[in-house]
Amino acid sequence: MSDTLLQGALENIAKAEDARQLDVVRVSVLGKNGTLTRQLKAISTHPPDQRKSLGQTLNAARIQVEAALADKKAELEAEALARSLAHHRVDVTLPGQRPVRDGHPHPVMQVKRRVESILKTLGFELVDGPEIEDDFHNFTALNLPVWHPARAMHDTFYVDAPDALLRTHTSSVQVRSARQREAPFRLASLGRVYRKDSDRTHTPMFHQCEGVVVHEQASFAELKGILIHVLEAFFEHSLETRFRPAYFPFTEPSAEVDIQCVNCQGSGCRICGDSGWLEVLGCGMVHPAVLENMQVDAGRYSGYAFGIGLDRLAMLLYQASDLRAFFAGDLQFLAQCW
Amino acid sequence: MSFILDETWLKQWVEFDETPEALAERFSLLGLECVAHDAPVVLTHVVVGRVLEAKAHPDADRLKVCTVDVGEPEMLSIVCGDPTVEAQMVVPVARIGARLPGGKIKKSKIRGVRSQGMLCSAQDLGLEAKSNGLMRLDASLELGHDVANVIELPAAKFEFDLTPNRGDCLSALGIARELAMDLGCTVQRPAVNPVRPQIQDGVTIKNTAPHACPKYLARVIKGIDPTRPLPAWLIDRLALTGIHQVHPVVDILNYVMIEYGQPMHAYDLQHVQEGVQIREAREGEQFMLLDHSDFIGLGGELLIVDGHDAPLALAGIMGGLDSGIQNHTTDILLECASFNAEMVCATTQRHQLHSESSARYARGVDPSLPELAIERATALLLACLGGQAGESVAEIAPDALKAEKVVTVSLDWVQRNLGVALDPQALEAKLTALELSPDFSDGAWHFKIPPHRSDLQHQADLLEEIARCYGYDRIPAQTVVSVPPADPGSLTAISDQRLADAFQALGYQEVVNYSFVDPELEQSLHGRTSGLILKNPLSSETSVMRTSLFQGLLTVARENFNRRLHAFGLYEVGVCFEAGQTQHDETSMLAMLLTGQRSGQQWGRQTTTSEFFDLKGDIECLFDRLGMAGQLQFKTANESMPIFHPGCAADIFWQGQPVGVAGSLHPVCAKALDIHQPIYLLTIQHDVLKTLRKPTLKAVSKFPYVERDLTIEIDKSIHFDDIAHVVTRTAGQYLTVLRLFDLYEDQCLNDQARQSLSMKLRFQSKDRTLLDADLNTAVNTVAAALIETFKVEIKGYE
Repeated sequence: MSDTLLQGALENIAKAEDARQLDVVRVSVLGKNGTLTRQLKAISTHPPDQRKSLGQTLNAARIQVEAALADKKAELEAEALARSLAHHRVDVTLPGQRPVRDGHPHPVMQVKRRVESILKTLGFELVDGPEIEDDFHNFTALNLPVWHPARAMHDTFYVDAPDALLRTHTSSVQVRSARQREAPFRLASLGRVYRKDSDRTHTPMFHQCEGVVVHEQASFAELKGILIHVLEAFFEHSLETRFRPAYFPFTEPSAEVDIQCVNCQGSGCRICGDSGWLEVLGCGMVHPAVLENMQVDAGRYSGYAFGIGLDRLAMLLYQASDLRAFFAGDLQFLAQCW
Repeated sequence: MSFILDETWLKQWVEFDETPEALAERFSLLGLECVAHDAPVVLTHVVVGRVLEAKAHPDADRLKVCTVDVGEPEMLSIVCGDPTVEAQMVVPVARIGARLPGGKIKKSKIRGVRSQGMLCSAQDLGLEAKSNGLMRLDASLELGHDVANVIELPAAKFEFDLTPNRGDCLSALGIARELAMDLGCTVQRPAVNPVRPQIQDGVTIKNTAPHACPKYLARVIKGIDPTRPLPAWLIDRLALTGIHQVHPVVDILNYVMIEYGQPMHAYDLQHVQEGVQIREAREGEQFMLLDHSDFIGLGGELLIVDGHDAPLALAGIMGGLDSGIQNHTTDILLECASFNAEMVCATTQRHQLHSESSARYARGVDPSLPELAIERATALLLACLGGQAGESVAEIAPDALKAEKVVTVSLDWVQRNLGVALDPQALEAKLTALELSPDFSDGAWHFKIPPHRSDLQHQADLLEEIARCYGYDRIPAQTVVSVPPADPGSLTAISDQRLADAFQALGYQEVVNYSFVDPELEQSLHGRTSGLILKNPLSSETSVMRTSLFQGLLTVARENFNRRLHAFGLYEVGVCFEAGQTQHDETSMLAMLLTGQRSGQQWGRQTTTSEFFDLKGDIECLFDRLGMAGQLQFKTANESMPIFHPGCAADIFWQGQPVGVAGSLHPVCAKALDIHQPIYLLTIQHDVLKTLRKPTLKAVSKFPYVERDLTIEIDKSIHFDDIAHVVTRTAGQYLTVLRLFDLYEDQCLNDQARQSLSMKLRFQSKDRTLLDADLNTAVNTVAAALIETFKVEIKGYE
């Protein structure tokens, strides 16, 4: 190959602006009919004594051209990549693409599941009972005989069927489940209850968590310990609590439990009615008459029970002001919970 | 039950210095939930002053310039606009700095004359709504004294919310007793002396129902003057308790009821012919009560009737209208009795009648009270309204009165139940203040239950009294509690939390709806209702127990459409009800609703609208996530359901059992609900989603899979499930996945009754790379089977 030819090829390689042009150059030099290829093929037409040196020259030229091609190719690729990188830009602040709609847990159900898991760690067995109850399990077995004035506090819904009412508390599960077990036991039942009442803090259907513990050493002191633990585990910080004497026919002694207002830490606000305290649950030592209805030997065992308003806890946890909104199904409201 | 008492009443019987707020807190911690309402009027810088001179104002006809002596060497000059001002009158003087309801008193000049205060009317001090002239004070009062100390100001009051077991606390006496216990002092009760009979008139009492009325006292009082005004202190106290003034006689009886807790009734003597009888009501017996309602006997209620059997009153609850005292009544028969609590409670509930009297009887009135209360009431009546009293006549059924009860409680048992060590001596004073006569001997208390504490029956009741005396807050919270090994939860159990998480990931909002629904809507959705109807619903729209979760979900959907939210998925887990022959059924169900755009309108994406198969895909996906892949089967609904479109309704099977239904909302139902967009619904039994299969992790094949597409044209009436069944049965051992990836029923097909399906068949072997020949054999076999079974046309495979 003449020097001019080689120089020409190298210049053409250098001038190539893209991979396609470079390929044209490659074919024109090294292709089947390329200038260099033709010369290599023509070596045999030369006299034998020249063939060797000619071969060496042409091969050297070929190596030089191939190297130049490879270099240029790499250069062009780097340029193309740089151009492409420079060109391809996205606005990373554009909104992300969502696969589906949003879905959220219901605040009261979330609280229910949370309380369940706390009680499970304390060895409670979760039990269920019917929502349409009979008078015996909802009232009589719990030491609320027929004409007891405390019944009036319950605003019971009655079902038009023999001996059927909507349970007014999950305490109804106590006797039912206890009878199927041998003491000692610790049971919890969480679910829907019904009372005929409707305002900002009352809905005709709401949720309760009932717990009952029966063993030989069950005491009021242990009840206090368990409940304080449950409340502190629920709110995830230590809380001032206050146990006030109260009245429930199925426990004696009975107490209502106040916690220091989780909103104002006790200094008084709208949520706690300026008292600094929030009533969150009722509890007490299981009444001997109820133990008897549970078929538990009251001489040997004692027990305690508690009832927590789950909706109330949800209102406090999520700082909601109107209980009715939990059950009105407005997705704008419900989707705030996760 | 709410009960309001003013502070002066308590002050009279118990000594204390606490502020109303502190006292309310004490009451609350005793179990008498209490809120204190401060005294409405607070007077400072208001003193007693005497007007020495009242001269005309130089520049104003209606104003006077007064020289006022407030007990200091310097006289005050006060400009007064009240026309009643005159020299020598003694009045409240608000000095500079006094805060009155109308504002603060400042130094001022009125029409050029300096004024160093204000002469006050009762209205100015906030004691009256409207006054006529200045408030005249007693002329003998020392000048300069604080008015707050020399006149009766409205007191603070306590509002109690009492539990039904504490009927004894529905009185000043009961509250005072509790307060005395807490303060460690005693109640100073004023003596009540019997009134000597001044007239001979007696009354005969015939009691045929001693079980319901163990004690009945009555007394004739003649010649009262009902026009005499009652003393202000009595009216004020009564007003503060929230009880309206009715008639002087009734007001006095109400006063004594608040004081001691004993309800009483007064009859117009003219209407009581030949004594009274106490008997049970007959069914259908009728008379008009004081509240103008008709009483119609159901049988068994207790009536007071006269000697001619004319009904006078519904015992312990309400008097009759005819026998009641009138404005001109001068002769009365006073009744003061013990009525059985259960009887009163039953009657009030059966007849939905409530009164201050019945509220007390239903909670138990101290049976030892009538003798005392009738004397107290008689004395007050005679003192306030004049008249002469006959002898108090008593009819007592000794058997019906409960004997004094003694309850023994061992210290050991108390300590075990409370979890605290007690010193019986330290508790004695408080237990004594509760009148429990505690006698501690041989390691046990022996309590004599006083008649006013009918709520104390069992040992447990005394356990509470002991705990109250000790103080609930002093019982330590046991921090170390022995707990049985906690159940860590089974690996194969699907917890509620896990289910909720899976739904959240699928984009379904959890909702909670009421369990009672609208029966009419239920009827149109399901063609029936659960048959479980509420006797006393809040409204007719919430009067039947739900038979499915659909009504709730659809209502939520509609409400959100109204709020312009159109794309969402909802789910609810809850109990559904069904009336049975003898017993009703409750089944926990799970339901889903899907509507609107699948992923909302987003930039750079095409929006797709959810349809039935999105919902089906979601439940399948849910089952996959919970380890139950492929366990659900949908079949064309066996029978038509009003809620679903007849062409899009399915029965759902799980392990061969029918467990639910799904479909597209029927246009008729949509119209009834005023819903204008497609809605897809699904429900299955919740217990299907309670346990999963324990996962096993098998080794996967090292050899690559190969795929073949197969497109067939087939009758639309043939179900895909059946086609898939034939494919999987005939494709041989290497088929791992069958996936439908296209379906078209275009016009271009020759036959409208046919459609074209494209399936992808994936093959894989565990021990070698599959060859074309393997696949050709498999696909040829499948094609032949499809042709033979369904007369399909094979459009091609590759």
